[in-house]
Amino acid sequence: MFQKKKSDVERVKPLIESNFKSTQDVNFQTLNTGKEKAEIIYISTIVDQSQIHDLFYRPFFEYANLEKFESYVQSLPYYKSFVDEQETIKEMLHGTVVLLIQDEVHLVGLRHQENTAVLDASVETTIIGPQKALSEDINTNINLIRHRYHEKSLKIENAPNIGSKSNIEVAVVYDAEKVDAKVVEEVQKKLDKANRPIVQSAGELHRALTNKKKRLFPTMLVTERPDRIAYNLSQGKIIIMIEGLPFVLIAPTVFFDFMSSMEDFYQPYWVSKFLLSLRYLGLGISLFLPSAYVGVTSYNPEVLRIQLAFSIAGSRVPVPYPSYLEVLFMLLMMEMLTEASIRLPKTIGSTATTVGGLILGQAATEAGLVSNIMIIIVAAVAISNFIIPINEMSFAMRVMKYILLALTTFTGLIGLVIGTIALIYYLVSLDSVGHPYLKLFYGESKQQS
Amino acid sequence: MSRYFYYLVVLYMLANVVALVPRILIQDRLNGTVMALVIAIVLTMFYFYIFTNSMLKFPGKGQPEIVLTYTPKWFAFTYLFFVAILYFCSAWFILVSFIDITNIFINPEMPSFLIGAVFLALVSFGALMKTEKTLYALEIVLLISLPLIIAIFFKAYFNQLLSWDAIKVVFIHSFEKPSISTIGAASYSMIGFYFISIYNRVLKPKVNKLKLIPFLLLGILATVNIFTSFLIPIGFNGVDGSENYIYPWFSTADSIRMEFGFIERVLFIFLLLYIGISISTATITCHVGVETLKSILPKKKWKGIAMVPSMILLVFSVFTISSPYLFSQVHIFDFSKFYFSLLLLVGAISCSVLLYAVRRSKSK
Repeated sequence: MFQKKKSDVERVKPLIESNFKSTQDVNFQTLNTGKEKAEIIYISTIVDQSQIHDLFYRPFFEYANLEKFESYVQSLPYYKSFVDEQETIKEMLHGTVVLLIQDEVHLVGLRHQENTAVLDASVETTIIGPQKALSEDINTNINLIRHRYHEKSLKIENAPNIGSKSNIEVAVVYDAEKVDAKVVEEVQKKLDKANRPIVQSAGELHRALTNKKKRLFPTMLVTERPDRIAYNLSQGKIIIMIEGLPFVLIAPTVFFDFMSSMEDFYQPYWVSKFLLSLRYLGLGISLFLPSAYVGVTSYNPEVLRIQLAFSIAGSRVPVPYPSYLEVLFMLLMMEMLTEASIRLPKTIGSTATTVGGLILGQAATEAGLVSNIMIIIVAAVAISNFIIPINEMSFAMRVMKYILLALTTFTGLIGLVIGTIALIYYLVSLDSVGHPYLKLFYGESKQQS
Repeated sequence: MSRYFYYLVVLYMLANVVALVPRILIQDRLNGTVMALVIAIVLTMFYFYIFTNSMLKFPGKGQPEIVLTYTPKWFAFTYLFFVAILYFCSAWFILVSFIDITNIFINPEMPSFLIGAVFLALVSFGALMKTEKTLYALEIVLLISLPLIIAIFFKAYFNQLLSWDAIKVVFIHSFEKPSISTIGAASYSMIGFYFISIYNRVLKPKVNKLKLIPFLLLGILATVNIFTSFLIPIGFNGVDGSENYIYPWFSTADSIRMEFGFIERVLFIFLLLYIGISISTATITCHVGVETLKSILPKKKWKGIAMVPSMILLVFSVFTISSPYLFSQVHIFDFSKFYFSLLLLVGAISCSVLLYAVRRSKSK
């Protein structure tokens, strides 16, 4: 039996119709001059409608000749050649116009993104330095980066779409001259393997990209600042961009990246060094102070000067519980406050802090639940935790603090030191896309190798 | 040489304070310890020179590979097994002593079982890390604690209560016949260079010979260090009094006071710093031990993970945690004397084995 092979149009058309017929925003239209006919199909909500008229309707009637119109369509800048039916459907969902001319299928990408506005930097703010962050459109973001990094070796590669349901576009950006080719390969391999039904944020993609399912510390940096992106490109790092998100992922990163702010480059040398040491001091305070309080009051009061030891003991006189409960109680209240102030609408936010911070703190000491010194410690911990410039790291350290507290509660000051060394060991043992995560004098060894 | 090599050497110079070395030296203080120190320094620097230079002839290779290639199989197996056990002994001394120190100075009420378990969990985790990562961790711990420890040493030297007369008394007895165990104990503070036997795999030095000036500087540093760890306790506690302490350095640190510091008693700073030093030393030593022992044991795998290193560390951990219940301080002290004396002999054997390997590799 000889059967005529179906043409592309005969295969694609029924499929599109069966998939999109019931959807309201899909446009099936026939262009008809009387003699010549062509069909145009697109999802009107994600296609740039203002251009459709100029690009297709008018030329169609002006040429009034299918061959000419076809070659005109093929020379449009957004033209994509037809691959197969499934691909066509996928392209349509990403804002492609499908043209059926005679027996040929033509695709023209006319994506229209609503939220292309460039946002203000809100997560990593700087005093002096660029004030704008990224937008939620991947093309706008690439535009922003190109304008900050004029280098011919800048490569932009499309990675396979991520997420079987969300099907989100991902782009990998790097400077081909600076980057380590092995790392690019590794990142692409991981992107191929990453499968999750829905990926909508950088954090989620990060989770999909790491081998370890359960991790505490970020091994890739999430940032919203174009200047940080440009700086990292020049350092030979890879940027992973995600459609619909004003954040990008940077890999590979080391621990110190999370402690640096772009402000460091904009301030005078000694000022930025001062700010940097302030940050590490803040990290130390927020990590160690609660555990040190437990260790010193409950295990080794002799560590402190006698006057201080007495005044701590004195302020703890009305407190009926051991120190670890007191610390845990106040820390949890503080975490609640922090969480609440993120969730609350901005107008109510200040009420929460007043009620929580002032009244609760004052009342808790007067009721004899916690000591005065504990209030000071909790305040210091809460403030210094937010000195860490990258949000993900500051959250990780927030959790780490409780692990150290637990260790100290069971084994005293020994536990605190052991916990600290364990933290160092753990951070050292981590890898970020094949690069050591924590290592001193990172830049120096890079030059050597 | 890579800077990591110097860290390894310096690490043991600091760690000897924990591992009963000052006590052995002080016990013999009137029987020619000064002479013993000089002999130990000369002898160990000699081993240092030969061992390190021989290892540098095999860039990127560890001692197990070298010995397995160039010596008969029966010898390589016995030798490597013996050396690995010695490494574990060294880590064991430090851990057992520090568990004891913790019990005496920091947490007298806590069972030594719990302290041991916490220490060994951390040491095992560290020792199972990749070879280069143990070095990164060591660097961080050392750079945090080293400045403070040096500051404490200086504070001790310039303390008004330090009696230089007591120190002079020790020097009067310089030229007496020293005992082997004293020489061994003194040499223990400089054995950090043996770790190049495994770390040669990752250090990748550009030179194939130790340079003279850094080598001499290390010699001077070792001399200053060993004299410091021997003389300061005597200067503080007196020629007779210093004998009474099991851990002379910690008792000495307790007699130093920082008038204007946040923490007044130096003991606590010293203790907390030395937890870091001891844990790092034990981690590095265990790592070297595991790597050496691993090379002669069959490579058993379970679900794709190599099991042998974890099993070795498990056995070591159980043994170390139970040791405070099995042995008394006197046993441990006697054993350490024997061990330190043995080190002198093993140094000679190790050097000759490596020299033999170098000759074989050249003739091939």
